[in-house]
Amino acid sequence: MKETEARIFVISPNSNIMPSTLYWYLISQKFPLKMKETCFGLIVEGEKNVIKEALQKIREVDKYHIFSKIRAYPPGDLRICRANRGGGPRTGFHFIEFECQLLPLIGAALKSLEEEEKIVAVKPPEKRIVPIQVIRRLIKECE
Amino acid sequence: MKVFVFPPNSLILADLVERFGHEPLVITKEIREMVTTPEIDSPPLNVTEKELIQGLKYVAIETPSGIRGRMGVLGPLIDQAEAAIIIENADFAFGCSGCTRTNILVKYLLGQKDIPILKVEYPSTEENAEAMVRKIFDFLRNLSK
Repeated sequence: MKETEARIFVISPNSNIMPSTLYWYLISQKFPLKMKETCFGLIVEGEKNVIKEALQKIREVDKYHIFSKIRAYPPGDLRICRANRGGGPRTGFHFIEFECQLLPLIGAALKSLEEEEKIVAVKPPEKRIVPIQVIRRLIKECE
Repeated sequence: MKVFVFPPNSLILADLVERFGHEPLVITKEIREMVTTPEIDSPPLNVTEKELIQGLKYVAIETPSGIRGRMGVLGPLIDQAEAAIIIENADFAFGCSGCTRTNILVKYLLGQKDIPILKVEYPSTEENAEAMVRKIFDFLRNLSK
Protein backbone atom coordinates (compact mmCIF):
# COMPACT_ATOMS: atom_id res chain seq x y z
CA MET A 1 0.00 0.00 0.00
CA LYS A 2 1.38 3.39 -0.96
CA GLU A 3 1.96 6.00 1.73
CA THR A 4 -0.81 8.54 1.95
CA GLU A 5 -0.96 12.00 3.45
CA ALA A 6 -3.70 14.44 4.40
CA ARG A 7 -3.17 18.19 4.14
CA ILE A 8 -4.98 21.38 4.97
CA PHE A 9 -4.70 24.25 2.53
CA VAL A 10 -5.59 27.49 4.26
CA ILE A 11 -6.36 30.54 2.14
CA SER A 12 -5.37 33.92 3.55
CA PRO A 13 -8.35 36.23 4.25
CA ASN A 14 -6.92 38.92 1.92
CA SER A 15 -6.71 36.54 -1.05
CA ASN A 16 -8.96 36.81 -4.11
CA ILE A 17 -9.14 33.03 -4.36
CA MET A 18 -12.18 31.25 -2.93
CA PRO A 19 -11.98 27.69 -1.54
CA SER A 20 -14.31 26.56 -4.34
CA THR A 21 -11.98 28.08 -6.98
CA LEU A 22 -9.07 26.12 -5.57
CA TYR A 23 -11.22 22.98 -5.41
CA TRP A 24 -12.22 23.25 -9.08
CA TYR A 25 -8.66 24.13 -10.07
CA LEU A 26 -7.35 20.89 -8.51
CA ILE A 27 -10.14 18.91 -10.20
CA SER A 28 -9.24 20.51 -13.54
CA GLN A 29 -5.61 19.45 -13.05
CA LYS A 30 -6.87 15.82 -12.70
CA PHE A 31 -5.18 15.04 -9.42
CA PRO A 32 -6.45 11.75 -7.93
CA LEU A 33 -7.22 13.29 -4.53
CA LYS A 34 -9.98 13.01 -1.99
CA MET A 35 -11.00 16.61 -1.28
CA LYS A 36 -13.26 18.49 1.07
CA GLU A 37 -14.04 22.18 0.74
CA THR A 38 -14.15 24.07 4.02
CA CYS A 39 -14.65 27.67 5.13
CA PHE A 40 -10.88 28.31 5.38
CA GLY A 41 -9.68 26.36 2.35
CA LEU A 42 -9.41 22.70 1.49
CA ILE A 43 -8.66 19.39 3.14
CA VAL A 44 -7.08 16.92 0.74
CA GLU A 45 -5.92 13.35 1.04
CA GLY A 46 -3.95 11.24 -1.40
CA GLU A 47 -0.62 9.65 -2.19
CA LYS A 48 2.38 11.61 -0.94
CA ASN A 49 3.87 12.36 -4.36
CA VAL A 50 0.48 13.48 -5.72
CA ILE A 51 0.04 15.83 -2.75
CA LYS A 52 3.53 17.21 -3.41
CA GLU A 53 2.67 17.87 -7.06
CA ALA A 54 -0.62 19.52 -6.04
CA LEU A 55 1.24 21.70 -3.54
CA GLN A 56 3.66 22.85 -6.26
CA LYS A 57 0.75 23.66 -8.61
CA ILE A 58 -1.01 25.60 -5.85
CA ARG A 59 2.16 27.57 -5.07
CA GLU A 60 2.34 28.47 -8.78
CA VAL A 61 -1.20 29.88 -8.59
CA ASP A 62 -0.68 32.01 -5.46
CA LYS A 63 2.31 31.40 -3.25
CA TYR A 64 1.78 34.29 -0.86
CA HIS A 65 -1.81 33.59 0.11
CA ILE A 66 -2.13 29.81 0.32
CA PHE A 67 -0.50 28.02 3.25
CA SER A 68 -0.50 24.32 4.08
CA LYS A 69 0.26 21.84 6.81
CA ILE A 70 -0.14 18.12 7.37
CA ARG A 71 -3.44 17.04 8.89
CA ALA A 72 -3.86 14.10 11.22
CA TYR A 73 -7.35 12.85 10.37
CA PRO A 74 -8.61 12.07 6.87
CA PRO A 75 -11.23 14.47 5.43
CA GLY A 76 -14.73 13.75 6.72
CA ASP A 77 -13.51 11.45 9.49
CA LEU A 78 -16.42 10.55 11.77
CA ARG A 79 -14.31 10.83 14.93
CA ILE A 80 -13.83 14.59 14.60
CA CYS A 81 -16.49 15.61 12.07
CA ARG A 82 -18.73 18.10 13.88
CA ALA A 83 -21.86 16.69 12.28
CA ASN A 84 -21.35 13.60 14.45
CA ARG A 85 -20.31 15.50 17.56
CA GLY A 86 -23.54 17.41 17.90
CA GLY A 87 -22.28 20.71 16.50
CA GLY A 88 -19.69 23.15 17.79
CA PRO A 89 -16.31 23.86 16.25
CA ARG A 90 -14.21 20.88 15.31
CA THR A 91 -10.98 20.19 17.19
CA GLY A 92 -8.13 22.43 16.11
CA PHE A 93 -10.47 25.02 14.57
CA HIS A 94 -9.65 27.82 17.05
CA PHE A 95 -5.92 27.57 16.42
CA ILE A 96 -6.35 27.67 12.65
CA GLU A 97 -8.76 30.61 13.06
CA PHE A 98 -6.15 32.49 15.12
CA GLU A 99 -3.26 31.79 12.73
CA CYS A 100 -5.46 32.49 9.72
CA GLN A 101 -5.81 36.13 10.87
CA LEU A 102 -2.00 36.48 10.75
CA LEU A 103 -1.61 35.02 7.25
CA PRO A 104 -1.95 38.38 5.41
CA LEU A 105 1.04 39.70 7.43
CA ILE A 106 3.10 36.56 6.75
CA GLY A 107 2.20 36.65 3.03
CA ALA A 108 3.30 40.30 2.75
CA ALA A 109 6.53 39.50 4.63
CA LEU A 110 7.28 36.59 2.29
CA LYS A 111 6.72 38.83 -0.72
CA SER A 112 9.07 41.53 0.55
CA LEU A 113 11.66 38.89 1.54
CA GLU A 114 11.64 37.45 -1.97
CA GLU A 115 11.98 40.91 -3.52
CA GLU A 116 14.92 41.69 -1.21
CA GLU A 117 16.62 38.39 -2.07
CA LYS A 118 16.15 39.10 -5.79
CA ILE A 119 17.75 42.53 -5.38
CA VAL A 120 20.69 40.98 -3.56
CA ALA A 121 21.06 38.30 -6.24
CA VAL A 122 20.83 40.72 -9.17
CA LYS A 123 23.11 43.40 -7.62
CA PRO A 124 26.21 43.77 -9.87
CA PRO A 125 29.63 43.23 -8.32
CA GLU A 126 31.31 46.37 -7.07
CA LYS A 127 33.97 47.84 -9.37
CA ARG A 128 37.26 47.82 -7.57
CA ILE A 129 39.57 49.51 -10.00
CA VAL A 130 42.52 51.18 -8.33
CA PRO A 131 42.97 54.71 -9.70
CA ILE A 132 46.17 55.34 -11.64
CA GLN A 133 47.21 58.13 -9.25
CA VAL A 134 47.28 55.68 -6.37
CA ILE A 135 49.39 53.21 -8.34
CA ARG A 136 51.85 55.96 -9.29
CA ARG A 137 52.10 57.08 -5.68
CA LEU A 138 52.74 53.49 -4.52
CA ILE A 139 55.48 53.05 -7.13
CA LYS A 140 57.12 56.29 -6.03
CA GLU A 141 56.99 55.22 -2.43
CA CYS A 142 58.65 51.89 -3.26
CA GLU A 143 61.44 53.65 -5.09
CA MET B 1 17.16 18.91 8.39
CA LYS B 2 14.43 17.98 10.83
CA VAL B 3 13.13 21.12 12.52
CA PHE B 4 10.88 20.88 15.57
CA VAL B 5 8.26 23.61 15.64
CA PHE B 6 6.51 24.96 18.71
CA PRO B 7 3.46 25.11 18.92
CA PRO B 8 3.73 21.60 17.44
CA ASN B 9 0.59 22.07 15.33
CA SER B 10 1.45 25.55 14.00
CA LEU B 11 0.34 26.17 10.43
CA ILE B 12 2.59 29.21 9.93
CA LEU B 13 5.80 27.57 11.18
CA ALA B 14 5.15 24.23 9.44
CA ASP B 15 4.54 26.05 6.16
CA LEU B 16 7.57 28.33 6.46
CA VAL B 17 9.93 25.47 7.38
CA GLU B 18 8.71 23.44 4.40
CA ARG B 19 8.89 26.45 2.07
CA PHE B 20 12.52 27.06 3.00
CA GLY B 21 13.47 23.44 2.25
CA HIS B 22 13.48 21.62 5.59
CA GLU B 23 11.29 18.98 7.20
CA PRO B 24 8.99 20.27 9.94
CA LEU B 25 8.44 17.90 12.88
CA VAL B 26 4.75 18.39 13.59
CA ILE B 27 2.48 16.48 15.93
CA THR B 28 -0.19 15.96 13.25
CA LYS B 29 2.13 13.67 11.31
CA GLU B 30 2.53 11.41 14.35
CA ILE B 31 -1.18 11.45 15.15
CA ARG B 32 -1.98 10.57 11.54
CA GLU B 33 0.09 7.41 11.76
CA MET B 34 -1.79 6.43 14.92
CA VAL B 35 -5.29 7.09 13.65
CA THR B 36 -4.83 5.47 10.26
CA THR B 37 -2.85 2.35 11.19
CA PRO B 38 -5.23 -0.60 11.84
CA GLU B 39 -5.02 -1.78 15.45
CA ILE B 40 -6.94 -3.82 17.94
CA ASP B 41 -9.01 -0.70 18.67
CA SER B 42 -11.46 0.02 15.91
CA PRO B 43 -11.34 2.86 14.91
CA PRO B 44 -7.71 3.28 16.04
CA LEU B 45 -7.20 5.80 18.87
CA ASN B 46 -4.90 8.82 18.84
CA VAL B 47 -3.34 7.98 22.22
CA THR B 48 -3.19 4.48 23.68
CA GLU B 49 -1.57 2.77 26.66
CA LYS B 50 1.60 2.43 24.58
CA GLU B 51 2.05 6.22 24.45
CA LEU B 52 1.47 6.53 28.19
CA ILE B 53 4.26 4.01 28.81
CA GLN B 54 6.46 5.75 26.23
CA GLY B 55 5.84 9.05 28.07
CA LEU B 56 7.52 7.63 31.19
CA LYS B 57 10.87 8.16 29.48
CA TYR B 58 10.33 11.92 29.81
CA VAL B 59 8.24 12.38 32.96
CA ALA B 60 7.77 10.75 36.35
CA ILE B 61 5.12 8.09 37.04
CA GLU B 62 3.03 10.40 39.27
CA THR B 63 2.66 13.00 36.49
CA PRO B 64 -0.93 13.45 35.27
CA SER B 65 -1.84 11.16 32.37
CA GLY B 66 -2.53 14.19 30.14
CA ILE B 67 1.10 15.28 30.28
CA ARG B 68 2.36 11.70 30.01
CA GLY B 69 0.21 10.98 26.96
CA ARG B 70 1.29 14.21 25.27
CA MET B 71 4.95 13.53 26.05
CA GLY B 72 4.55 10.02 24.63
CA VAL B 73 3.82 11.65 21.28
CA LEU B 74 5.99 14.79 21.55
CA GLY B 75 9.01 13.16 23.23
CA PRO B 76 10.12 11.07 20.21
CA LEU B 77 9.75 14.19 18.03
CA ILE B 78 12.08 16.11 20.37
CA ASP B 79 14.56 13.20 20.20
CA GLN B 80 14.56 13.41 16.39
CA ALA B 81 14.91 17.21 16.29
CA GLU B 82 18.07 18.65 14.74
CA ALA B 83 16.93 22.25 15.23
CA ALA B 84 13.93 24.02 16.73
CA ILE B 85 11.82 27.12 16.21
CA ILE B 86 9.80 28.28 19.19
CA ILE B 87 7.08 30.91 19.25
CA GLU B 88 7.32 32.60 22.64
CA ASN B 89 3.90 34.24 22.88
CA ALA B 90 1.86 31.24 21.76
CA ASP B 91 -0.94 31.69 24.27
CA PHE B 92 -3.33 30.23 21.75
CA ALA B 93 -1.78 26.77 21.81
CA PHE B 94 -5.17 25.10 21.53
CA GLY B 95 -5.99 21.49 20.82
CA CYS B 96 -3.31 18.87 21.32
CA SER B 97 -0.88 21.44 22.75
CA GLY B 98 -3.34 23.11 25.11
CA CYS B 99 -1.43 22.05 28.22
CA THR B 100 0.84 24.60 29.91
CA ARG B 101 2.89 22.06 31.90
CA THR B 102 3.61 20.00 28.78
CA ASN B 103 4.61 23.16 26.91
CA ILE B 104 7.02 24.16 29.70
CA LEU B 105 8.50 20.65 29.70
CA VAL B 106 8.86 20.60 25.90
CA LYS B 107 10.74 23.93 25.97
CA TYR B 108 12.92 22.64 28.82
CA LEU B 109 13.80 19.40 26.98
CA LEU B 110 14.62 21.35 23.82
CA GLY B 111 16.88 23.63 25.85
CA GLN B 112 18.67 20.59 27.28
CA LYS B 113 19.48 19.30 23.81
CA ASP B 114 22.53 20.66 22.06
CA ILE B 115 20.69 21.94 18.98
CA PRO B 116 20.25 25.40 17.45
CA ILE B 117 17.03 27.05 18.67
CA LEU B 118 15.34 30.13 17.27
CA LYS B 119 12.85 32.03 19.44
CA VAL B 120 10.38 34.31 17.71
CA GLU B 121 7.04 35.95 18.51
CA TYR B 122 3.73 36.07 16.70
CA PRO B 123 3.70 39.30 14.68
CA SER B 124 1.23 42.11 15.32
CA THR B 125 2.38 44.53 12.60
CA GLU B 126 3.83 44.21 9.10
CA GLU B 127 7.29 45.20 10.34
CA ASN B 128 7.19 42.51 13.03
CA ALA B 129 6.06 39.94 10.46
CA GLU B 130 8.92 40.88 8.13
CA ALA B 131 11.42 40.60 10.96
CA MET B 132 9.99 37.20 12.00
CA VAL B 133 10.06 35.75 8.48
CA ARG B 134 13.55 37.16 7.90
CA LYS B 135 14.83 35.59 11.15
CA ILE B 136 13.33 32.20 10.26
CA PHE B 137 14.71 32.41 6.71
CA ASP B 138 18.24 33.28 7.91
CA PHE B 139 18.12 30.60 10.63
CA LEU B 140 17.06 27.87 8.20
CA ARG B 141 19.52 29.01 5.53
CA ASN B 142 22.40 28.83 8.00
CA LEU B 143 21.31 25.32 9.01
CA SER B 144 21.92 24.02 5.50
CA LYS B 145 25.50 25.34 5.45
